[in-house]
Amino acid sequence: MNMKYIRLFLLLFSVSFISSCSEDDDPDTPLPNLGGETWVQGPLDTWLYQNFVTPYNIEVKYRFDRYEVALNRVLVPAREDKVIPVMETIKKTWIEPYEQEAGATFIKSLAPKQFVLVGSAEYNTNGTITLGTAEGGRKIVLFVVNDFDPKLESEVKQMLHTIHHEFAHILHQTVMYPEEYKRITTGYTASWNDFSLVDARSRGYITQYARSSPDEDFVEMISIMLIEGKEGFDAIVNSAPESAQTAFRQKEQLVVRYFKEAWNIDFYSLQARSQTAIDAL
Amino acid sequence: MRKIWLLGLLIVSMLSACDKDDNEVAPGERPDERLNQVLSEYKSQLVNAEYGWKATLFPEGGAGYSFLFDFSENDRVITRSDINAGTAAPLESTYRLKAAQLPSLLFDTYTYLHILADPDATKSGGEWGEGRVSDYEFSFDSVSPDSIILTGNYNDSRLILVRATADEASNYISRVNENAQTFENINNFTSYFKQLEVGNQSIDIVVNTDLRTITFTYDEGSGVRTFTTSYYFTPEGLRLLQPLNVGGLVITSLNEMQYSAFRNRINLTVNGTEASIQETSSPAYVDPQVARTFYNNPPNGAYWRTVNGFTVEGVVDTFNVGSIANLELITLYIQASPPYDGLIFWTTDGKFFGPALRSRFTDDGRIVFTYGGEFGTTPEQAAPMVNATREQLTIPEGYYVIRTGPNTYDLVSAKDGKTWISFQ
Repeated sequence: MNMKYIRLFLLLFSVSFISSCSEDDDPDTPLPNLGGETWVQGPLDTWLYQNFVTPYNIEVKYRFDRYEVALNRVLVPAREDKVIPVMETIKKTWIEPYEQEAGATFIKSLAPKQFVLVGSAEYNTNGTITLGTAEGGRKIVLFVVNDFDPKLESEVKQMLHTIHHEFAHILHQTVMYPEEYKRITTGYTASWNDFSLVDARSRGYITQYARSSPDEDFVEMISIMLIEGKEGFDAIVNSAPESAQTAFRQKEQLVVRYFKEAWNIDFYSLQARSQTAIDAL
Repeated sequence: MRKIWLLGLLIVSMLSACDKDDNEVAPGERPDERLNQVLSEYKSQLVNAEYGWKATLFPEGGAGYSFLFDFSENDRVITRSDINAGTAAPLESTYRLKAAQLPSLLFDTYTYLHILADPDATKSGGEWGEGRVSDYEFSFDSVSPDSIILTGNYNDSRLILVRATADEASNYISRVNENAQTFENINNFTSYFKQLEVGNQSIDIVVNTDLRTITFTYDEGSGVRTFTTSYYFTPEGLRLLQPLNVGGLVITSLNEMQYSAFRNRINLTVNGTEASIQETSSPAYVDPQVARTFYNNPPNGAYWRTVNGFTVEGVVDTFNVGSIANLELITLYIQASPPYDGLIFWTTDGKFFGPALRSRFTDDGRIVFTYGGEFGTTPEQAAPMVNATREQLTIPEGYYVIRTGPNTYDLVSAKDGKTWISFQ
């Protein structure tokens, strides 16, 4: 091929390059309901952005979205004025103790990425109510935020119970807890809700639900130990029969060991921080 | 020749530059564009009403409630309502317009509207887990410049918005509330029986001010009939959801209501004619069969249950049965053989006690109980409450039996109409 051809081809190539259309990648109309929800941002949105999205990459969805929750349940949206008290409490009593104990990266990488707030409880057909649910370690739905009062210790503990429970699931799904935990007590049953709390505790289960499976047992232990503190937990253990006390102490040791080995966290120090945070509310 | 060929190639290559628009499969406005346009039109209509919108919500579960909404461009809305005494003050929350199957108006944080939908029965006054079967997400049904009709996406409640005037913006809810308060003075009447007197007709009424239902009992000559409907309040008065047809009269609303505390009477007008609601000691119409129907049909085949015992002149549980130690249940036990019924108190420790009764029916539709001994042994602590209840229950005049629902009845003292007990 002589030079002339090559030049011509280059010319042709460059011309055709110039004349090719410039494609605008954005669709000319935003598709409704795709690409995220938009609304005019208010002070509450800014607060959530500054306190949860920026530091922890956690989205807090407080505006009601039917498709984030059970479609066959009667629910109501959260009150706007409850959002900050609820989320501030969560930050102080759940995120900050972990952050201080295990470092910022720990909570950033493991925290669930979305909180969905619902005003009422979820009423189930069997007469129970649901206070919180978690989906695959990614999303936590918190119910009854409209009744939340940071001054009521029972309310705070009930909400924290859910969050500690779900977060502990994320932890053991990331690094499994010691196998021997499953063999301390062996009376796990699917009909756990037919037995009283006293009955569960006399068998070495910290709550009724703990009796449903070793996984739930493990996370319930962590949750109760963190919300009740060392003193509260000891009181529960000491009120149980002797055989159960042994089981509780073995479970406690494994929880402490797990936190040390898997996450290099001093559990008792975390427990103390958590208590201080709850008491300070 | 070669040059021409190459030039041709050049021209062709320039012509081949793409024109994007030719690729459009279906030319014209896209569905998404149309949808977004409709949503923004709806929003600007809501926002641009200078004095906001007065609204009436008809929950699928019944009744009606008035609202005044003031929508802002920044997706926020200020609400006032007549749901209860606390809802007249303005409350700000958020709203959104969104396409969910149909273009919808979502009230997506809590405001007064949500009280009716709240599954917490202590907030809505409805059933646990159900609320008053209401909505807070609505789709647009029909829109005209001054009115918007919406339907609830979840329960088919109806919300009707009407553009408010400057005057209404300032006093719509207070005027509605004034009528609600006037009418709800009916709860101060000490007699069980209330009558609506209009023209020469007397109509018995039973009102539930919490659920906003009213039951009319009347007789046009062809037997006693009852008619129940929901109502709501307007600045003019009380409006029935379904009109009452009685004696050639069609009643859709009670207007110009005024309460006289001295006479325990509400004066009003019906279709421009003066009328009144007042208390009476006995009902105008009694269905002679209803006492037997009550007696023969306890809901579980064996007994009726009362929660609060007797109400005397509006004071619930006057005889304090609620203070009986370990009380679990109070039942009116129906037992034809051996022929003793009983008002029996059951305690959580498995004991039961209370008076044995013999029941009879009068021709004018009353039920009369006579005392016939004791079931079990009444504990000392419970004796005053049980004895007071027994003495009241066995008054010689007996009781009118009023059906208040599919499976609920009130027994009202035929002596003076000021004492009653509810059974379910």
